[in-house]
Amino acid sequence: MTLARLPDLKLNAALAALLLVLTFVSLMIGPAALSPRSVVAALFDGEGIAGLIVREIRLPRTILALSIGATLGLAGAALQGLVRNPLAEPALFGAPQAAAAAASFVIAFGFFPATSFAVPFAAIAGALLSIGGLVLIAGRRASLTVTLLAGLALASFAGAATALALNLAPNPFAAVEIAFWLLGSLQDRSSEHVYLAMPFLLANWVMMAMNARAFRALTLGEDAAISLGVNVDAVRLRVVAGVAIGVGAAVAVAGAIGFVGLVAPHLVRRLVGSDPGRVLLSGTLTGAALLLASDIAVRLVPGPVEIKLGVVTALIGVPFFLMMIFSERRALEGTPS
Amino acid sequence: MTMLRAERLTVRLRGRPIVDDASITLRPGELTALVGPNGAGKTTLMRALAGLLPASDGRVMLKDRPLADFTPRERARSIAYLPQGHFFHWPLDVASIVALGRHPHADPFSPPTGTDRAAVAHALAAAQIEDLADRIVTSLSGGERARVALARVLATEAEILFADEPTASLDPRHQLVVMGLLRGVAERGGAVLAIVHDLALAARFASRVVIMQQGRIVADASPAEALSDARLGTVFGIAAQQVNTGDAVVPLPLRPL
Repeated sequence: MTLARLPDLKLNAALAALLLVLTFVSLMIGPAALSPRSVVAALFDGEGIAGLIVREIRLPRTILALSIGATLGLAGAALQGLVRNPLAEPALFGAPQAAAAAASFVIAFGFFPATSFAVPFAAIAGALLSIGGLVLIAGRRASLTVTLLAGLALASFAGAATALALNLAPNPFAAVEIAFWLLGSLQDRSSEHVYLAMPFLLANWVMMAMNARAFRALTLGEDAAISLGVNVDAVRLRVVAGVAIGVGAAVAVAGAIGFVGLVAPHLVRRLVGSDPGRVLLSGTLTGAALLLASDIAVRLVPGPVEIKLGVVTALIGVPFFLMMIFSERRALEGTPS
Repeated sequence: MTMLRAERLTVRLRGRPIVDDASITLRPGELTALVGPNGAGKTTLMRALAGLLPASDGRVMLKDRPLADFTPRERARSIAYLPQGHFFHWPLDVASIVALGRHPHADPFSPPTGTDRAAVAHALAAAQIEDLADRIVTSLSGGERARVALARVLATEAEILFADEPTASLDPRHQLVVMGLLRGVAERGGAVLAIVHDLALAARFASRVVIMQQGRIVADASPAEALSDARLGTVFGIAAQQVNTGDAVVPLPLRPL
């Protein structure tokens, strides 16, 4: 079997060009019909109603879709690099659900307002519990079966925590709030949300980018990687904390959005091969493109209510996951993975 | 000259001594075979010698300096370790896998140097897998994978090479090829320690045989001396016939005692 290989530079340049196009499309779409020229003018001078619409409504939404998509794609690629398994994806382990449950507890019970920094911190703590649990249970050998079973248990636990939040919700408003977190959306997000999430997303990107060479060495297993001078414990800590920070911050502003981390790296592997170091950057750009494209799609579908973004990514991601299980079934059926 | 020395090394896992008061010296130019029944503590001893497991008691000295004082990168440049099993978790091409052996030498922010490329080319040639360089490693046969794994440790060009069961699950021809490669590393001045289950391979290729039993080193001598009939009986519980192959006297297991 030989894989078609695109040079990284070409692929990443093509992805960047795609992101530019999607960004422009995203700035064009909305209830107010604006011409391409007035969108560009409004973006740069910000004057009048058009300026308000483009800079205060469409731009934050676009920036959040891009940066959260990038974070989720990167989180998936990094988690897969750490546990050496293409099926590792934060949403499969209930990380966004756990983050959403924690965030909604904080909001629904009125401890803090929705745009306070307490929300991302609560969401990060929730995600940390889920990701840390997975890495602990999957352990050194990280077999496919154990990883997936651990994911199942953690996702169920996150579901139970969410049910508890709904159960204990002090009023109907709180219950609706929690349901809203679980669906995931970028509707009506402002620049305030951008400022709230961005420090955490940036921290996540830096923490993940440091691991490219270590992921490559981990191809040989943990013992061999350690013997090559890789500090595997430090890598594990960076990935667990980094993914939790990224997913937690994403959930804090956009709710639970899953499966971007599964789909983006998988698409990239078909183009650049399986090198877990090279998948990081291309997977990040692909994640951004996927989420922005999905967010454009939910805005274009006509209907009285907007379909939530998290619903769309799950509807695309779950069949994708089944397809990947199908292609990995030999490994799942007991040959050493 | 001593390359690596363990002094009264004890490794306890969950309170139980897996390696018990073991002293061993590895010298340049020697291929040492580490043999012993299943569960004797061979892999644990090797991992402790490679700096992958901390010693509970005693210490490991690398070139007269405690191994624990080396940075992971320094240590990795001196000691190459080939674990059991030859697993490859991602379907990478063979050349990329072998290039991983250069990890301890590489600068994270610059591309491979001429030295790196030469070391990889040399390792591919030594393991006779140059024609496989562009193949995807997970599509190869067991024998090919074993040679790729070996080429990866050769590419590090470390002075000390540890190999845990490098010949397991290989056909007879590839067992001979792999053992010949390890002996070649020793002949070029390396210190090699290999865990081997096939006593005949140990006797023919090793310059020295170390025998472990229940965590202790019970013999450390030339192959003929270490693998005597009496010791094969007490340690392995087998009766064997010593066969002269022309270049060595090798034990041929006959029956369990």
